[in-house]
Amino acid sequence: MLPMYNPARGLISTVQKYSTKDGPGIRDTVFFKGCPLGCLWCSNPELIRPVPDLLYSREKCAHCGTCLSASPKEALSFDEAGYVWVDHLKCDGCGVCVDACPNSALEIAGKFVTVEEVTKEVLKDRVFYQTSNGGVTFSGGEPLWQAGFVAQVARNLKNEGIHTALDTAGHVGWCRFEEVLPYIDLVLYDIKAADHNLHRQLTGQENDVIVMNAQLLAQHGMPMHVRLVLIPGLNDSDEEIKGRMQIVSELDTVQQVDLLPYHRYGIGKYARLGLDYSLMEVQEYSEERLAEIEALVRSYGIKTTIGG
Amino acid sequence: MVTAKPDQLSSAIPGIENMLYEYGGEGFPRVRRVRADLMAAVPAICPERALLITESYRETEGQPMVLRRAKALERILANMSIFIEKDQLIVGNQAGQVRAAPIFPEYSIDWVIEELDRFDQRSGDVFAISEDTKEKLRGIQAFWQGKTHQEAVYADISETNMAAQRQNVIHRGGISMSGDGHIIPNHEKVLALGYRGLQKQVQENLQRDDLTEEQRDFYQAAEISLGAAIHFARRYAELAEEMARQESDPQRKAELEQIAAVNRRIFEGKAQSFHEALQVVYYCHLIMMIESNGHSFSFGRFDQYVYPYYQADIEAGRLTNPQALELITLFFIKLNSLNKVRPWDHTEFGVGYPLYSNLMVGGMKADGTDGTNPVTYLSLRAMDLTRLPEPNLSVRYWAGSPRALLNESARLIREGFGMPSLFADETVIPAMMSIGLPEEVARDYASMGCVEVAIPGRWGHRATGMTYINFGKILEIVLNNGTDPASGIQLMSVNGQSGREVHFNSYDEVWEAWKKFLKFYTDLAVESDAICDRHLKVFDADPFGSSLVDKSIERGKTLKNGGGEFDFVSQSTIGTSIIGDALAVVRKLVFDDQSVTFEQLRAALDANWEGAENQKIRKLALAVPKFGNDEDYVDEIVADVYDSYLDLLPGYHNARYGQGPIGCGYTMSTSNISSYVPYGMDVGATPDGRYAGQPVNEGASPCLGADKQGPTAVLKSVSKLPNQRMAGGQLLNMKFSPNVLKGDDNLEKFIALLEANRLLGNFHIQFNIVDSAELRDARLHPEKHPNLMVRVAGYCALFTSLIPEVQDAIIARTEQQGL
Repeated sequence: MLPMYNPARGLISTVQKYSTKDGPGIRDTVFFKGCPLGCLWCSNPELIRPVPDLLYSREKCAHCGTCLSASPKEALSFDEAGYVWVDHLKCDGCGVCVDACPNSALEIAGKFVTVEEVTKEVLKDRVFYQTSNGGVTFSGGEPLWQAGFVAQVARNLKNEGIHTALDTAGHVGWCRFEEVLPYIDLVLYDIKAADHNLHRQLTGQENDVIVMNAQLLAQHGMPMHVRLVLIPGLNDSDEEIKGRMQIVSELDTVQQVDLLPYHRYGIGKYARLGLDYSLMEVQEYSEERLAEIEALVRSYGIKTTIGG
Repeated sequence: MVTAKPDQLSSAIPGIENMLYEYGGEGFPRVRRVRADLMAAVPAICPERALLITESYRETEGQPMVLRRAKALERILANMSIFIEKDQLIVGNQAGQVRAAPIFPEYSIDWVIEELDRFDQRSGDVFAISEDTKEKLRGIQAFWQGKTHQEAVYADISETNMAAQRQNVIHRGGISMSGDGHIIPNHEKVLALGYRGLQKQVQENLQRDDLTEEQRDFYQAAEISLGAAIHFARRYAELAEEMARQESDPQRKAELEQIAAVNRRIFEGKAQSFHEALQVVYYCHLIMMIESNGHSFSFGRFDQYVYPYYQADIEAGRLTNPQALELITLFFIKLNSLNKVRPWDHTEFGVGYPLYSNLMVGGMKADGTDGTNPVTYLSLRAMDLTRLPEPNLSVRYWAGSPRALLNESARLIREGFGMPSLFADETVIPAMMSIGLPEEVARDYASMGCVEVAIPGRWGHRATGMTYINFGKILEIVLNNGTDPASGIQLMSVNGQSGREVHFNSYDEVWEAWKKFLKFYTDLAVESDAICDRHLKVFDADPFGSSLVDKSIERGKTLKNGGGEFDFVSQSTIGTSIIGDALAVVRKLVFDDQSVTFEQLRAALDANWEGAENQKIRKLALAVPKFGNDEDYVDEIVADVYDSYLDLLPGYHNARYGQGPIGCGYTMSTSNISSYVPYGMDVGATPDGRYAGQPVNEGASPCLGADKQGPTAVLKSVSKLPNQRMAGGQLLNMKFSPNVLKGDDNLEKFIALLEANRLLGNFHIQFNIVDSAELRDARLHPEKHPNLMVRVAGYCALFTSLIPEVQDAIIARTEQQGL
């Protein structure tokens, strides 16, 4: 699948209002769809593919078959157990079956939007940005896969004097950053592992581009909050944390480190997408273990939060 | 909980900006003891007042009612049993026991007798009652036959009005069978002059030779009532002296002597201490609640009028801040010892033993400067220590409020017991000016009850909640050509035909029908108000309460007779948001998209959405934008619904029009206590997707579960309503999950939300900070959650005292998450 790249048309899932964890103050977060990484723990798996996705809730399905006949592309069929099976090669996310289902068992993640639509939507919450020193965050998925679109929205917001943040995993060509940086005030930057091999195992990609882009951001003087996702037993050994903090400590524009401990809120979406969740055995952190990690990170002398 | 450190508090108060709270009551052991004693008291029915007033009325038959009421009050205050609670410094009891409710047979007695055996069997607002009490009350029933307010009202209500009640459009509420309440005394004046000073003014007026008979009666009644009140305080002085003589603990002995001294000289002139000032304020409240069984007797701008007494004592070194805090806290606890019993069907409209005594702090002063002072903060702190339903604590805020006030308010809100509620001066003051009040008068507003606002000490009875109007039922009736499907009653029709068949060719036709029916039922409600008021003027004549409000003494009239300086009332309009959501569905599906015919939609409503086809229609209905999501399409329709009612109001006057007070018109209010639950039970399925019997929306809040975009979108939607015309009060209730407010960073964001709410021009906001899991657990295991207090509507109540249906509605109210 090729990353979609049409600066006039954005593919997003939602605009999340009253976001309190994606940068300073009260924010609207725009979730873009499409991501070059495939992190094992991804809590927004519906945002990975750069096309609209159909989500199917087995527990709501009455097996009536209404959706099968409604689908114009004939993308749906029953599997042997009588559940709806989505042929993602045929499905183009038109949503006709969603409207037809009497039990709301189907939903679409992903809609195409214009720059004006997104701008208008996030400007609705301007008063909250003012009173909280908040603003708008571009997140995803990987918003930089749609850099041209993000840049236009962000430019509109800068013209309105609104704070903008970019929440990126950084695995894109530097040219994508260059498109948006003139209109971005803060970058929230994910570093998921320090070790190359581990990074590949966890995300499907090595981290060399990610680390290089982080260094370039620092050289450009871009303020950053680095976000360290923590997955018990996978990337939270002392050595791994120290490795990541080593990278961070060489970036002199980092203002804050946000620890993002593993959670399982997204687990239901895997089933609805027909995907397997590979971390079924992983347990969430105990407070004690989290406190140990936090202490280690704090020892680097950078402002540290849990959750952002 | 962290121990409160009184010393720290006292050193922090002078530099208020840096005042730090430490929550918890361990630093005030007396407060903890007094509170525990109160919580241990079981609400009960007390027959004493009923027997005394019966005796008195037997003797005064044939005399003018205002005099009879004064003499009855004198009899009650002189003869009722009195006591002083252990460890308390504020004295005065309403009934024979703490939290017992007196009976007011002069307003209505038949329901009391009918429910005698059920008071202790209720599913909420339970009252213990002894066989002896039942016997005594049965014994007086015969005397009151044909003599009560309720009977007088119902003899006058027209057949059409009764039919509208049977349709469940109109609910007459308390005013058809109890007193009115809703008075804020001029505390500043009472504190300066004492009851003796007021009595002297009354006596001077009695000397005038131009008095009408009505005025002479009033002045005589006022003189008797004020004298009775002074004598009542003397009884406590004597009791305290007696108890002091027998007290062996030297500290308590000294306290009792102090109580005796305060009560000995109280009301003979200006209050001499902060302690005395609080005792004066309490007596005003207490005696009004013995004189009449209204509710929402409120305190107005407490921090403004007690501040001079606090300041004088602090400066003279007679009082420390911890002592001041303890006194305010004891005063707050004392308010919870009062009670009111209502008939069961009224109880459903306002559950949780509510008295709605609002106490307001903060905000702009009449001169345009900010009024926040140390008592403002002490009041918030006292509320943190008590965490009880009374008083209903409200904070006013505006651009000039210190940041500390918002900080302290937010921290208290975070504690999760529903207080304080917040009023934004920048919206309320223009709303008060919209009914013609001068700006400097409007700046002095205070809440009277829940969210209804009035000018303290200058306002007649009853800001809000005369007759209740069920908007949800009106819409159902419109969609059925004027017929109520439940009762089958049809009072008028859309198309001139009888029967429920009707067709609409355009949204405009639906809208015109809505306006026509709204006017029809509002006319009936105003007529109902007038009838209740006409009889309240007689049966609720309140020479004591009226003497505490400006112009009554000057004019020689009770408030119900036109004694107030200003006099506006409002009905309670229930279901504005749901009407907007429902009309949006009709407009979009039937007329804009034409995806469903009107007949199909109505068939689906008739079937309560049951059946596959109807479920499809419901799905389409649910997809239409809902109020609370910052969607102009529907928000504008909800605003239209407000306008449709507001536009009717200039045509209405209340019973005092032309009798002296300024105004005597109507205002709009969405203060509706818990009525949205029982009113919902009466309304069939509505086009917004709601099933029959489910609650309609509360106040100006979105329909239950309709707001899916979070709190910012709710505030934005509400900001599109005509808030600056809502002089009767606009209620917005929100529920937050506790983790959203955890930590300083999240608290900052919450404060930013409150500030944005003000800048958006919203009127009022209040919160429940409690997660649904805890509420569900409390529903199942009440014994584990005795102190869980929640926001019901414009007031707070202990969750476990609520009826199950209201508990469910509170659980269902959308819990806002920060993401």
